Amino acid sequence: MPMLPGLMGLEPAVTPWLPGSGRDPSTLPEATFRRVERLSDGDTLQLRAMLVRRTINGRTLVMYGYNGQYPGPLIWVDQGATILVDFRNELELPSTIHWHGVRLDNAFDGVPGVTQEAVQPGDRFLYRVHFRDAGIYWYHPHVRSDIQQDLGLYGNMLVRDARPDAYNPVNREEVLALDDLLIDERGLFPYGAERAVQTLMGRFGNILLVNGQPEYRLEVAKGEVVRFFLTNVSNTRTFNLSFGGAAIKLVGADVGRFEREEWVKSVVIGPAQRYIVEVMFEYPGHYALRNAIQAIDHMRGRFSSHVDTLGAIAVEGQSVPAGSDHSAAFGRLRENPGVAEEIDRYRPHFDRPVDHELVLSMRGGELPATIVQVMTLDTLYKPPAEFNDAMPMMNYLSTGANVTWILRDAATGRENTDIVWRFKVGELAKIRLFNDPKALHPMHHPIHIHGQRFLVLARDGVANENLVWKDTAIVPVGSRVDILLELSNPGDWLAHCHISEHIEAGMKLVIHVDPAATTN
Amino acid sequence: MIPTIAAGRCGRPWLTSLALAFAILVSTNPAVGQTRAGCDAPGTHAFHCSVLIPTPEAHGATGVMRLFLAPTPFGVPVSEDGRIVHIIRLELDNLKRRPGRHYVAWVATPELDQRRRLGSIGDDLQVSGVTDWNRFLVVVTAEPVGEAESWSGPILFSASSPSGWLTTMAGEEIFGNNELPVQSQYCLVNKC
Repeated sequence: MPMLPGLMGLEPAVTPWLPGSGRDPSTLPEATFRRVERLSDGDTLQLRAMLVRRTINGRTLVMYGYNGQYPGPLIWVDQGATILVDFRNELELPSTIHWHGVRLDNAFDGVPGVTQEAVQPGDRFLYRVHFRDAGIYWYHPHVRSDIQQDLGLYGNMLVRDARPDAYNPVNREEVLALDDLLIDERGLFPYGAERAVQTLMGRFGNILLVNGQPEYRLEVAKGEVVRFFLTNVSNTRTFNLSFGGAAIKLVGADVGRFEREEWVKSVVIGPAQRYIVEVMFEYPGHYALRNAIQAIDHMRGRFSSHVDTLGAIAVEGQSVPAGSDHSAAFGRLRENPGVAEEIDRYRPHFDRPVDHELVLSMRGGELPATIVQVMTLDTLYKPPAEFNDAMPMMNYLSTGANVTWILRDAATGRENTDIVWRFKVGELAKIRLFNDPKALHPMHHPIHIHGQRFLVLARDGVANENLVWKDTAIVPVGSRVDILLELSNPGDWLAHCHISEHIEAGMKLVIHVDPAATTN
Repeated sequence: MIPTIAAGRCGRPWLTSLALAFAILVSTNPAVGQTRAGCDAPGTHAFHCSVLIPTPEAHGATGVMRLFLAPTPFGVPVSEDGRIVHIIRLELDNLKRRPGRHYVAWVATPELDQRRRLGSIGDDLQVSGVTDWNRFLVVVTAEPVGEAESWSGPILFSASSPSGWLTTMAGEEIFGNNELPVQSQYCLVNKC
């Protein structure tokens, strides 16, 4: 990694940490590709977080895996089901499991210090997970996720809609977890033992992964329509994904379907977000799965086009059989009146005054003066979003001790976990998220709210004309994003930036939702 | 590369969204003849605003350039190759109409090797358009015809995209000095 003159040889103020405590990787089980766990209501899944051996780009690495798999098992359930997950922590670190996007009972949300104590190495915890909403969800640890999630602890939950026609007919479905991993010639780039490092921009990897593998491969017949369930499980990278020029139809997002389907050229997906797209492969050949961005180099003051190929979809010359030809349905953009009608109940609240405003900011007071000088200069231009590590030298030296990321309540000035917001089940709250461009280093943030769902009503005063229920929304630098939060689930719920290093640097608050008043 | 408003097979949803966005943006503007607010005015919601730099040809007229992010279902609008898609809105004040002069706005690369028409300045003294260039200049010229497809007349105003502030720091003094001031010495594990 290049370093500024004068800062050469400096290291972040942490003890370098790697998983496995120096264990010989050959003594660990080799991870296997994820299996599908089709579970019914009342079933129990045994889930072990454990050390595994992975070989990526020729390097043998000690990593983590659920049940020795990469990604973790794909949990396949019907909407309305409740399953038990018997979690065993066989790591060297405490851990938990958070069921991202699932509106489950608060006690099983997996947030240490808020909903449970961390599960210590060797201990167990029984989670009860109820799937209220159909869609694509994912699970991951909520303890040092900058390490544990990055090392492979993530998996998806595909919750089937009870209605058979909820989605368009397709030839197949693929569940893709998008990730990256930072390695150098010695293997995994070290993490910080005492606290997270790379807290300015988060840990960008230099190898992009799809379902834990550097080269995704799929073979389809000519004319096949594939529904992709996409999840960004990376620590900080926002992807701009396309399918080699194939037509992409946007169908759904975090918590269900859009009011209306629409065509898109690419899919911009921030950490923790999910999108459901349908793609038709019309012609024989190879379609590259690409992440195309405009990288910013603050040091040299320039943009550069950067394309990573994450894999390819090989299309055979033989067409799909006539009975399986879904091109006509694919060619139509569907409206989902059921979705719109459900949202209709909330529309009278769209124009209400903002109930709470959160200002997204940061403090870098403990950073060395030279780095602050550099950041002051290089953030004269504040891009709405950054798709690469635009300042790797400063990022490398930042830690959870010298950078604080902030959610500030505009009304009270309280910050992060000092904020006290209390609601009752059944209430709605209009919340404005303002990403302060005057922060020392502003950056876009994927804001996630646990255990509830929300609608993104508007950005910068312009109404969102095609709504979908969300649990994670990107707030660009300088923008005001208005959301309508439905408080449907009692308990103490975390809300935070889903850049793993940002939550480790403080960017979180707890929302208290009291049970609805009962009448005798 | 612009405009990238056609998407997928038909592109119409993008066009519809942009049209809606324009309508909303325009509807928030003051009436013709009313003095417009500057960049400090509350409630405009642009993520960036800068004052248009006038030339003597502007004859006392003023204006601002507001940038908005284009509508997108994803939170951040980017083109297929990753460029941020901006809506540019120019708002002018006190610009006098003169016979034979039609005011047209353009967007150009900083090198001026590519120029595209943004649109004619309407009676309401504003114009909006879309670009996905990383860096750009906005220029208002006086043209002999309102439908001018190339820029030939005198320049009245210009402005630079905020990305124009992205400058190289490689040659800055602070990076060439190996003897950092004491307060800059990073107190590091094993090195303090």
